[in-house]
Amino acid sequence: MKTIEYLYSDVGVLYGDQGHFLFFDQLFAGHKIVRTGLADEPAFVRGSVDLLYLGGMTERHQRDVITRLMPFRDVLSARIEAGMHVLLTCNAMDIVGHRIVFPDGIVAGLGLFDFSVDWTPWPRINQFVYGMWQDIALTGHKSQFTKTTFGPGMEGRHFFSADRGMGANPADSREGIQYKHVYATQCMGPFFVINPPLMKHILRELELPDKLPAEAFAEAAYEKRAAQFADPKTRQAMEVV
Amino acid sequence: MSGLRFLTALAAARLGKTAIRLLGRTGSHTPGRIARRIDPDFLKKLPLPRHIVCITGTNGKTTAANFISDTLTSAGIDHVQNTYGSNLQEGVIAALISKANWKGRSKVDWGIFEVDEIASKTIFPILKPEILAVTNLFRDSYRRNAHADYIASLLNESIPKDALLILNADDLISARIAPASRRRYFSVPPLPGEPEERTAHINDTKLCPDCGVPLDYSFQRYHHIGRAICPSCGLKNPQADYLTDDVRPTDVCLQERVNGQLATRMKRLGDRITDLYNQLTAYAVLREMGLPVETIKSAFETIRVPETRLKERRFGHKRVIMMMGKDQNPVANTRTLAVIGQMKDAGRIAVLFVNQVVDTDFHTENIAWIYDCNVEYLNQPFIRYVGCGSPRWLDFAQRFCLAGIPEEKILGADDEVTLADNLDVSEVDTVVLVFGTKKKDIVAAVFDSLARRLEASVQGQRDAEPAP
Repeated sequence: MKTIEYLYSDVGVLYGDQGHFLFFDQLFAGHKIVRTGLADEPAFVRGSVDLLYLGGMTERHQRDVITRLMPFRDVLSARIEAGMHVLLTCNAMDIVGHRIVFPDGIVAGLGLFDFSVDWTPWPRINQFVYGMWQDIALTGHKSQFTKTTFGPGMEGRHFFSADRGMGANPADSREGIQYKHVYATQCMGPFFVINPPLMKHILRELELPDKLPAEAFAEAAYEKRAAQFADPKTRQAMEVV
Repeated sequence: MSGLRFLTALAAARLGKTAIRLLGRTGSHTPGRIARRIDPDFLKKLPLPRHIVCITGTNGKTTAANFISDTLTSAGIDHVQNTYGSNLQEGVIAALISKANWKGRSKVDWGIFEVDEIASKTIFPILKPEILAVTNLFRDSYRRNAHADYIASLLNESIPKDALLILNADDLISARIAPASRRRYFSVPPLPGEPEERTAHINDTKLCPDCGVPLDYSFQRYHHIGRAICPSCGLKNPQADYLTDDVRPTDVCLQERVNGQLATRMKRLGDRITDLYNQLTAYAVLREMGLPVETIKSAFETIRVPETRLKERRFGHKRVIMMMGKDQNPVANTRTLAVIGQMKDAGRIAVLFVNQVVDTDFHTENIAWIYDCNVEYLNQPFIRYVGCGSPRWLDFAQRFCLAGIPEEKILGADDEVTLADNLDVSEVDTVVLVFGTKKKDIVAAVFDSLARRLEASVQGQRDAEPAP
């Protein structure tokens, strides 16, 4: 029996992150699933959690989440060092960096990883992302107002290199965090749902059967998407809002 | 020089408008695009009608604006309106030019403009609306609109301080914008026996926007629309100045509590709850513009819900329906799916998504939104097929499957026409096309093709029946 925590599931559910809940509910059926609200103390503070998931949120809620998590920063850090799986998508990743720079001020992050994030109201960057992690092709999408700057402490801790689309920023193809069992990306939405080989890898790390819900469609969709995103003839839409 | 540039832009835009008309095209924003290309500040220089009314919001603004415009037309009040969805600066310019003299001076006193929420930041400071209605604020396109909080912040920055706001009391996001501005609220109170929909994936005010404590909903119509109170700080929905009462299938009593109380029964414009909101928005705006109730009531008698949003063709017991789902908009699609999920009396239904826009020609669009859309509403025994016609159809199939829809019910094809062609119409009674704002020609062709095949199917069944 594994314990899965949906951290702050009442706010970390902005851009299709609901898909992770739908997916994990089926994937981890029979295991203990804890939904932690913004007003609640996280389950990982009280006891062992095998997989912690936090999805994208509004900028206002980023501030709230940082405030709520800051007292548990050291516990979270210790759990990560002990091997807890932590999955972060979209701007949930921002909160574990040093700071988020908003036009109206700087918000200090948890400082667990060496990067900072700059938020500007324009342009909104919309891109598809493709890259390899180990031997796994990863596909995703970005729609964001932010650019991320990695510090030297991120050396060897980024997730994958974006061969297509933006990584941390337009000049840095390094994307996300992969450290111990932390898998974090600024790609939005159901990233772990639409990348079945990655999810199977994580399941094997958790010592669980690597059978996915809707697997046939998931893999067919993934294969088609990955081939298309990898194809140099497939260009970015270049849409800037 | 700037005057010359303006007049050149005006002349070119007029020429473009004439050319479009002669070519039989629609292009409702093209004259505006031409004008802005020549003079980027064209709208700032263009004389405006004396009174400007704007309607913005995520859903319903086109319908509400059309209701207002149709009422003014019926009342003989000449006005200018950016018809049918050309709600960016180019559309506003094109509309203004259509009712302006050769110097650009407006020939009408009233301008009614539907304004895109993002475009509001550049349009409102120029138009300075006297009355501004905000229908609601929901999540829309993730790529373009980010989230409702972000849109609210844009509106807060762009709404002129003198504008009278007409706001949705049932929506705790849009009801709170520009708190220092004068305001009226409208509300559709719970209808007798109206079921609540607490299952929608999206609710952007689960928590109190002031103190972060979970809100108590005494009535949750859908998503964050309803009546809520914060048990901690007491925040709640405001009292309404305009509201519906005694809603019947064909008519509704509209109440106002502005200067004393007034209640008038009038024709109901559409049968969905969203139609009630659109009608009430239009009514509140028209009343604040000073129109007599009887004039509005009389005009409403002649108004129909635009066929661009809902279209149906019947052949015996079979039919094909087009229902607007909008592109990559999880709330608009969920609202449509909620209606389809209640169509228990429509026989065996096939639901075909033909509203998939693509990023240029490369089909790399973000499909995150379909996970916020309540596809689960289609997991019904009476729904025989669920399909998607798009290069991304396999992503949809995965989503349908995660919603519990059995694999044998899932259809897919790389395009809308093939999807429809592959449907065995003899196995269904109702085909619902969930369509968006793009690909109108293709969707119309699919609709006509399905209509022909359904008609032939019904005829075939009749021919096969033994003669009495």
